[in-house]
Amino acid sequence: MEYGRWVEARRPLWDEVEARIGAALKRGNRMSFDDLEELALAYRRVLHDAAVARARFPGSAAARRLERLGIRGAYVLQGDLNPERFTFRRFYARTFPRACRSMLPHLRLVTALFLVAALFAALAALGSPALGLRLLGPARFEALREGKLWTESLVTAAPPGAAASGIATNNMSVALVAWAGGTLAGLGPIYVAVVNGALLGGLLGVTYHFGMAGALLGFVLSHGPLEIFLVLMSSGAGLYLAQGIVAATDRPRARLLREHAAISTVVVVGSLPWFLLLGLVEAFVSPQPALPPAFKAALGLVLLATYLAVAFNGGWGGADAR
Amino acid sequence: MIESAETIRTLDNVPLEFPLAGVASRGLAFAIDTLIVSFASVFWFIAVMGAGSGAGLGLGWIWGLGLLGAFLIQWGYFVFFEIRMRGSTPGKNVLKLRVITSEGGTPSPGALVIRNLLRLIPDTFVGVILMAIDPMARRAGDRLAGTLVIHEAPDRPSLALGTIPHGWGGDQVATVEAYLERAAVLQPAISVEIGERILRWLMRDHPEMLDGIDREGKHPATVLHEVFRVERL
Repeated sequence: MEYGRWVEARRPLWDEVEARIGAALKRGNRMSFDDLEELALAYRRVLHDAAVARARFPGSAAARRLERLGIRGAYVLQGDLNPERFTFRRFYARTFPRACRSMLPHLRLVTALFLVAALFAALAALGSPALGLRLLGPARFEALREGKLWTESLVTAAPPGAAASGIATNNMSVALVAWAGGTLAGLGPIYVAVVNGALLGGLLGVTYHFGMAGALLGFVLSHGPLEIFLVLMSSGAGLYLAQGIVAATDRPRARLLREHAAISTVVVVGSLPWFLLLGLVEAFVSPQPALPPAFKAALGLVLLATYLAVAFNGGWGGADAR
Repeated sequence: MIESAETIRTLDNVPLEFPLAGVASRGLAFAIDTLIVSFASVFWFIAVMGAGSGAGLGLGWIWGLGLLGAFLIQWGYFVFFEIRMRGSTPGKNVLKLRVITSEGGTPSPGALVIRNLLRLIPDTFVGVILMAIDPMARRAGDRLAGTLVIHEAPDRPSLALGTIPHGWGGDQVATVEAYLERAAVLQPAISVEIGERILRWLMRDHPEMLDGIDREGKHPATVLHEVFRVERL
């Protein structure tokens, strides 16, 4: 095969494919079925030419151009393209609940870890109130002894608007750390679940010792139930992610990783906006002593029930149950 | 600079070499993006302060909106731009980098979200080491999303030989084409020397190629253009 003649004969096809790829890229990969079919057929011929050039004329200008065309064509013609347009309605009605159901066993596991840690910490704090010194620091511990709860400072230290934003962004960061920590073979989500359980249990134990547990519960009733559940959902998502990394199955690792990463991401991304709502509740409702505990408890339950209704609207029977 | 290449078998099992972006170029793109994120966050704070004061908002709300906006910019910047710019960001665009799937295709928005939300832990400590030791220079987010970052090939035409002597293969063609592409930017003496060497080589093995070619006073590269009937490809 003579190089010059071959290039001359095949060049019109390469020019055509290059023009079609350029047009497709300009339109954001959107093209009619006919255009797609014609490009796909022409692209296969270009790939065959690329294979010939690679074998017969490696390193030549023709081989380099065909390699470049092959790469650009693969980008336009292949990929994880979902034909359905993203809508929030579809995401929260179908994608998010399905993902949440997929990780129910992981949610149960982190919840169990959280509860065990909370119980142990509460018992430890009841047995040794000095533990509160470590949890709260000297100033807050001293204030507690004098019958003042540190949560009162939330309304005085910063304006509620700033506090709401600070709380929401901090909680979102915790949720993202819990989830992303799944890449460390699940250590991140386990750590977040255990530490949060131990903190809650420990603080309840210490405040109970000083007769302030009721006041603490009064503070957390409105935002606590959903906040804890969201942290557990993120930790569960982190464990689900970790399962894709460490689980021994007969499926290719890359596919398993992608599947677990995709499902766990949906859970975390779908849960993040709820932290904004919680930030507002925690800054504006929770620190108000004038509001009756029954109202706060009702608000907390309504928030949790709303989230559960959205996250598990197809039932609790696992990913395939509809 | 292209650090390495990954051979991916595409349709019909045809291998293509994807020019992978390594730690250096990706780090530089990340630094540019981080600079933009920092400026955008500061700009957002100034804008909120200006607009908030004008609208009579309290300092608490102004601070709250500023903080929330900065958080969203920090986490949303990469996701937003990689989806809008089809696998690129302003920083990547400067270095001509693009995110693709491990099969060479267009990554889904979901995959782009995964690779960017997984920046926190993996990218600060473990991620850079993982990238440095991974043959495909992937960080944890890339592994989980099934993505790669490649250098986009420059879209400039190259020079192709229109005719070659009988028996020539890829090595000879690539050598002459590479010389002709660089002849103008090489040091003049070196450019002439290499060109003369190729001409002597032709005189010895394929003198018929030089029949009817006037070499008098011409740069060897000009002569070779005529001999090989070079075209832009």
